[in-house]
Amino acid sequence: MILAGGTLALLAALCLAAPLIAALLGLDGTQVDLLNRLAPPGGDHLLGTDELGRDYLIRLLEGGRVSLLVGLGGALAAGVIGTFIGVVSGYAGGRLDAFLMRLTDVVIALPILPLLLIVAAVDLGKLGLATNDGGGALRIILIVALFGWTTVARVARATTLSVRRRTYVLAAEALGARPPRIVAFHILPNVAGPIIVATTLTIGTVVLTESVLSFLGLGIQPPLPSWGNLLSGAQTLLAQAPHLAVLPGLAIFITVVAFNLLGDGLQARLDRRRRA
Amino acid sequence: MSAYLVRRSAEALVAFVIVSVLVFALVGLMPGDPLDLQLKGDPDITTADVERLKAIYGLDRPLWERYAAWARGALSGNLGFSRLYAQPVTAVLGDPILNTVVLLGASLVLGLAIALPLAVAAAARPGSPLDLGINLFAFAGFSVPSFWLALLMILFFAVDLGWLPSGGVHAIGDDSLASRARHLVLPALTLTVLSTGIYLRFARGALLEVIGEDFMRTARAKGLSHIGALVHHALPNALLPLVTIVALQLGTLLSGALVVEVVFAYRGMGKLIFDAILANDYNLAMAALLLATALTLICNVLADVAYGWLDPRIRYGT
Amino acid sequence: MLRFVVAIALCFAFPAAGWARDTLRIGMTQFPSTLHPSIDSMLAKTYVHGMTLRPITGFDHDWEVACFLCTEVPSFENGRAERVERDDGSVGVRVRYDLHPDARWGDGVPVTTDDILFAWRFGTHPASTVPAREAYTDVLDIEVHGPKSFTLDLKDLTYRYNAANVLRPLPAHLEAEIFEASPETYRNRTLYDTDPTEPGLWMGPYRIAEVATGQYVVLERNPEWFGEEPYFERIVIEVVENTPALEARLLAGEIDMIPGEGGLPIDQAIAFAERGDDRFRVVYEPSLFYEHLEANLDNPIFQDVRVRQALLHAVDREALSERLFAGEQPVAATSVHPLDWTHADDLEPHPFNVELARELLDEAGWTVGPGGVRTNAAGDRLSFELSTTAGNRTRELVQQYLQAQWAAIGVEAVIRNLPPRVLFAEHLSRRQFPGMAMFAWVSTPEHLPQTTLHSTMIPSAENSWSGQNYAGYANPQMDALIDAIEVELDREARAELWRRFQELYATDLPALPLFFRANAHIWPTWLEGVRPTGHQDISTLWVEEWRPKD
Repeated sequence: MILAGGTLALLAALCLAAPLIAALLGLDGTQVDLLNRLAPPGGDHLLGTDELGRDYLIRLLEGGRVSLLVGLGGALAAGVIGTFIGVVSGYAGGRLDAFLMRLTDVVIALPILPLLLIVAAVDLGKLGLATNDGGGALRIILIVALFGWTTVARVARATTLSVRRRTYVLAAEALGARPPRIVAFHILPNVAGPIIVATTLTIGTVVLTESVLSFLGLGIQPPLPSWGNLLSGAQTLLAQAPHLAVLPGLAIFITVVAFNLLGDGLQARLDRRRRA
Repeated sequence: MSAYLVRRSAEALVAFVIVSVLVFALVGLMPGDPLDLQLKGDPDITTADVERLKAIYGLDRPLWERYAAWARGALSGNLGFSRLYAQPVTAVLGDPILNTVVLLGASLVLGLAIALPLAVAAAARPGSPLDLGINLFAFAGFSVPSFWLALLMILFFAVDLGWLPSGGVHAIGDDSLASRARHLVLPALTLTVLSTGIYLRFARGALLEVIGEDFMRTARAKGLSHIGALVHHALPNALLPLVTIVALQLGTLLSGALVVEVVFAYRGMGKLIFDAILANDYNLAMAALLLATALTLICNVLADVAYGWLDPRIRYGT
Repeated sequence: MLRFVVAIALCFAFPAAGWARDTLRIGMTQFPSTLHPSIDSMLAKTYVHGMTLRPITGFDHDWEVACFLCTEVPSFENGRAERVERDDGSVGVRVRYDLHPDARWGDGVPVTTDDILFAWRFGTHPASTVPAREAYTDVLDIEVHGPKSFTLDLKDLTYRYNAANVLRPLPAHLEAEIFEASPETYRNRTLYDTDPTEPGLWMGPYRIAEVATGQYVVLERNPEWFGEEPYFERIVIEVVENTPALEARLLAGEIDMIPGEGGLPIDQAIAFAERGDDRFRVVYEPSLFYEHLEANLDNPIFQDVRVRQALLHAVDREALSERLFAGEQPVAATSVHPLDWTHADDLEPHPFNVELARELLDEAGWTVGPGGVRTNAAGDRLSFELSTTAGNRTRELVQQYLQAQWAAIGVEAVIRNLPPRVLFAEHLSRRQFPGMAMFAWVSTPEHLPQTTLHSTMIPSAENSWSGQNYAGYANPQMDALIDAIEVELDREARAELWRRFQELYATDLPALPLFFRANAHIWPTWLEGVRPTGHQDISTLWVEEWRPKD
């Protein structure tokens, strides 16, 4: 877990520092150099160049920034929706609970990817939402959140159920505190742990989903790089420049494994604390 | 029990109708139509031609009107005509359903065959290096970008080694079981790599829960070895929740199958849905998507019911 | 159960038996949605039809009109074409064709004027789903002289009077009854889709033997074919949409070739060629896909021709073609293809000249301001949106190159890509694009860009968005030239008009020319006789010449 956390921290730091690293190395991720296309790793360009002769290290780091941002943003949005639905469901109980949980069941049962494809292809402009946000990062975050909240919702509901009969909640209710207040001050702090774990596990899924959407042509749009579109763009050049495909693939793989391990580790720690 | 079943089925039905409206609306919100692209691909086609064709295909009518027409047809058993394949939708759907069921089934069997022994081994000594290793393996499985894995599989097994065909459902002119089996191996294997980790994680978790129960202590007391007790007593008990989870995962599995089918040119439901969406083939996209949704919803209800039926500790309120 | 296991074991022990050379296996990225000759227009279908059907006339390898199903191309010289002056003052033309005496459908029924008449009836019917209707409605009447001879009465006399490429015969003896029964639902009931292996539907060197929807089409020799017998007994066309997977299929030996029409994108093909696999030959053929930049001329930035010229001078298109496309995509000077006979060979494309570009911008009043982006006297920045079809990797690369080159002269291009259907459906055809769009027009030999350049063809609400002059280019000189070319029958005189057209295009720049897209054909080294044409009448129209080297 520490290893996973460390890896992620390092990756995130590197990606965030991309402009700084670019400046240090005297490189520019947008500098096109047709005479120096597809250079192999080594030499002036540590990780070689892409098909327009741009430094691949910088492209990769900038892509990581976008991918991680989308992953975090998507998971966070999904976490917020899921927490809201889960806590309301668990706290309110009764018919509202039954309805919300059925809704969750149905969304879980849906074939998500085909639906994501449709949503990704839908013209958000028609719905009055801005479409011009660079490569469409916001769009990906939105559609991922739309379908990805279910895990968090279930976890949030289960923990809320276990918390809401605790004495401090009952005491607050007896004192006449209003539900929003109880939820905010007594329930949320006590259900935060499992929700954070579930959200952490979602980040990896979102990063993967972005790459799959890129592969199907509906992910982050160039020139904004993301690991997903770098990887799917490189698939046609596998034989000629394998490093273009191997590196983003590896980056995605390591990141997703790390987020999963991190979530898993957090979970184990939480369980231990609960048992103690 | 039967009252519960009826209620669940009714809920599933409502969900189904809502999904159908949603999908129709979403497909309708997709801008443009492949007809607009024809305008670009053929210098003889004019804007007027495109307008005329849209009117003939009914694309110029408002969305709700088209949905009503579609729903009326669907209720009377007429799923309409697929524009993409110039065939009645019912004729297009048959093969892909079968192919996908075979693909999912094969990968499920293979996945469980790998996951269960590993889960037992992992659960036997939680926290041991072996457990950690198996966990890492599980995570690795579902952390690979699916299309990337599929391509690598093709390059390695079909191109470099030349052992297996790189795609398709069966060899051309050879629709035998043997030919189908050979073509199934790579896609099924890819899907297995992607999904085994999930089964493994769930199975391990379920086993660990069961381990603390009384009958496990009894089994140990009767002199069964640790592994023996796990296999003979814990595993059967853990299988139940696992089945449920697998049923719940069907939607996810279908999403994984989509990418695998696209890369392997394996004609299944996932690929069909993908192609239909890209081609704006309403009738086909609706029928295929709803079929997939219905399938997962039904499995969901069945799993729920089976769970209550098999596990005497659960009683559903009426 | 045991037998099943044995069967599986056996199939692994004996991998698919090797293919004999009597079958040619082709891999494509697209499946023909319908096999009807006159419904829907798509490349995969054209490809299959080249082998299974023949048009009356088509363009040959020299881009001249040639007979496929007729005996002689009509002309005024041979008396088959005749000028008609009508009472209302309009001028039309009557052209007489004779069908090949031996031409017959796969069931032995001769191809006759009945089939032509039926095709025309179908095309002009209000419920008809033919894509390009005008080709049918422009035929005012068909006069039948006998089973194999007819005269078309064409509405307008233009230089294209003798090309009857679109009017394709349909087997009346099979289809007429189905059509007449209910024209509205004919498209769902045609034998081409309900029973495509019916031999009587086909008349080319091959007929269709098997169709596996979405997967493959198998063709077999047509014993009734009236021309030279083709070499291959069978041809299999398989569909793999994912191009890396398609390439892998080729490398694994499961398919023999990937045609340039509907195959690999050029950058992938170049990468493939660089592997130097000696089993395959990669041949590039420039096509009539004219890649260009269209600027919305309502945008004040682009109204000044000097800005348009500067933008073009600032881009090193030679280097782009050389480096990114292995020099295989010719840089375009205008929309006229270098292989077209009307091309003015001495007219050079705008050279790469950054200094000149800067001077032109300075002259136009755009001076370098803070942040490196030029501004004009009013303080507007020289910045615009640059769109192309999202997901087209080649265009995306070119676009990023343009962006970088323009940045060097103080021009800011903001990239905003849209899915193809969005770009074409609304953005362009309703002229909603604020800046510039990069896409391709496909044309035909000696194609008159009337719908894209004539001022009457600017889409607007008033003309219910008809026309494809998306830029909004209006120049009386251009209009006059286009109108003159259309009716000039004399080749010499037309050549001169085409020359003036190209000169005007190159200086006035209604669009910024980039290059002509090349198709990459990948053939096995043992195959010969495949000759790409570069235009819409593709290599499969000569499939009977394909054979292995002995």
